[in-house]
Amino acid sequence: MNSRLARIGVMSAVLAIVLLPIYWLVSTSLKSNREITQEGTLYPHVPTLDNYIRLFTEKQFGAYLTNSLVVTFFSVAIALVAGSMGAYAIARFRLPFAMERKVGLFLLTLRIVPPVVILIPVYLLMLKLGLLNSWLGLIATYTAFNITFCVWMMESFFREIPVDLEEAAMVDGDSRFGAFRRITLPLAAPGLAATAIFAVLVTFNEFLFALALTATPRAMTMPRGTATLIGRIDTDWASMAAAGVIGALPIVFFALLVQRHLVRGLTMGAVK
Amino acid sequence: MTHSSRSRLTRRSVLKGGIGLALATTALTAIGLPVPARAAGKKVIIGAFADGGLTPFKQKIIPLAKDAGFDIEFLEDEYGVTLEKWFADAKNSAGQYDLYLLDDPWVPQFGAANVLEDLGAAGVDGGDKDWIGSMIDMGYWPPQKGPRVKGFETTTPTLICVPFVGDLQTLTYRNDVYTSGAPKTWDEVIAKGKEGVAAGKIKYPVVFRGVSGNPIVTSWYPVFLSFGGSFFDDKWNPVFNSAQGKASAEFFVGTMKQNAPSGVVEFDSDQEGAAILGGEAGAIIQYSGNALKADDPTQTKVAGKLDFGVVPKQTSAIAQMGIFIAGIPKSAPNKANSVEFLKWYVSADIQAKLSEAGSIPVKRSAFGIAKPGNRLIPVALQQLDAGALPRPRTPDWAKVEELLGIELNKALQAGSGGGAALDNAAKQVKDYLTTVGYY
Repeated sequence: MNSRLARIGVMSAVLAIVLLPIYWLVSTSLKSNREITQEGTLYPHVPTLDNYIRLFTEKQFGAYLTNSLVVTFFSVAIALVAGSMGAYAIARFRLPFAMERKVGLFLLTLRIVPPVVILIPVYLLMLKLGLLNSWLGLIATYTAFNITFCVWMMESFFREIPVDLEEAAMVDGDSRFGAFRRITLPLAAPGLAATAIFAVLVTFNEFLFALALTATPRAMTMPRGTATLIGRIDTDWASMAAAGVIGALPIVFFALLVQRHLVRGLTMGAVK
Repeated sequence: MTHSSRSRLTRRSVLKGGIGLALATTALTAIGLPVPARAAGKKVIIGAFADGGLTPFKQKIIPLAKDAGFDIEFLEDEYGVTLEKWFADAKNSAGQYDLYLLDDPWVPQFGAANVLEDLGAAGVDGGDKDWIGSMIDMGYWPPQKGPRVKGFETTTPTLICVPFVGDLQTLTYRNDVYTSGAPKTWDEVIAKGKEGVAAGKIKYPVVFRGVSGNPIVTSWYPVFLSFGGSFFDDKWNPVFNSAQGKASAEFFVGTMKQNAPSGVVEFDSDQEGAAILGGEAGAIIQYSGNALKADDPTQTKVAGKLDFGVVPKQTSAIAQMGIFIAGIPKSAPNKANSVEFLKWYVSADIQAKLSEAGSIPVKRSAFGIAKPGNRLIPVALQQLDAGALPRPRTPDWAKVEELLGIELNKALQAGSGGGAALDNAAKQVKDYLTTVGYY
């Protein structure tokens, strides 16, 4: 009995620690700036939705959220399609001098290099291409990063799937691409879901490139738009908290949508 | 079985996600995206950093501009990134903005890089006697008065920026603590503040910003000036570690710290704002963005108890002046519209409207209107007449401020050694300016 109580106590404490930041974020989003900075209350004494309303009526957060959703959707979708084909090629084909491994290593370098190192070249490239402040510029940039990530994640998943299944399909008359699309890819669906979640998280929360490549609400993403709430001499903490809540919701919904795949994805491939 | 289940779920997930995204996108686009530009409007894209001092402009003047036929796109960004972002925009001719609302210390950097339009040649009258002289002076590069950096000794001053919204430091004080009006001297700030603490009206006589870099230098600057200090001689030699400068620094890190909240070493504008607006502090020197909150009960617990005055003096009462100042990049896509907008905006009529809306104007006539939009405006004029100085006009001011701010912050942590901190900073500043070719 005592050990059960102790377990409950420990679990409650852990839960409280995990949930405290979320509670504090939501609670802050319902307070006025005066209550936040001058009173430090534990819960909103005069709850208000003004912070949320102000975001959409004065701060153009509808545009920021739309931009984030569109950019994330397309960059992850393109990266998943291209990345899974690249990963399949690395997993299944052999090139002279084991070049398939070198290609993988080359792709990995893009993930190893700190993003800030290539920030200025990417900025200048987008400037020359006329893609600053555009969805296309952000999608192209994020896709480049996401493809390398997808290749490395998906390669491990494809290696786990027996090649015999594809060969059986081809013996039955299917093409190589047909076998990949109809046999291998559905079997790798949990891996795709896991990869997608990580890619969505990284892309949706990305700040550095959004900071450099966007300057207007036409293309600013949620993290980038939230930074505009920091003023020279004051910060709109209440609106920032509300922006945090709004920004978290799409990720939570997405995670709930694919969580079953994620659990299965964690039991195969690279993220075991 | 497993395969079938996987296939069905994947399609459903994709469909669900796609439909959800489409609906969310449509709804959010409808309520949140910027309204497309009117075809007949004279488009002007203004880049600004987020600051409460621009609120009256956004709320009252932009609608007037639209009535006058301008199609204003007002793009706000975080202060910390705007300088680098706009400078990159201007240097690379990216053409993302028609007008930058700069912080005035940035003018030398943009001027030295020759990336802004000559507004005098475009027809803006820099010689108009209605300008506040100290404000229009900040729009010229190289400066019309004072020392010049190397390479610009003989260059004719050009009007590359025009003052947009006035801003300067003034004193905000508790009228139930300083019952005879604004304290005239720093000694009075401390002495009467202590009486206020003893009476239980406040917890601390003063509050200021102690964070290293720009914040601590900005808070120390008016103390330094009031003690009679000056930053550089006419050859750009640092002289801020003079006897007067050292006395101001010792007072700042010693007496002022002892009479400020215990965490003041870590304070930035949010914390100092909370201390004065929350009723804990008796007096503060601050820019208008925060001062404007003094009458708003949703922002302060002590509305009605906060009054404004000229900064206290030791030998003189001189504040730091830092204005919003507008420049047109050479790469502006709607240059002619921007020039027309600036001429319209700095006209006496519109400056009077700005004053009515509550911002500090940049034309003297606008200070004289019958009903200025807030109580700070006439006090700002008193401060301008008493004395207000901009930061030294060098493209390297940010580095100087950083070096000085680090040393001052160390002394503030120790609670003593302000004079030694200035000596250290002066040596570092001298070394830095030598490295970049000042001597």
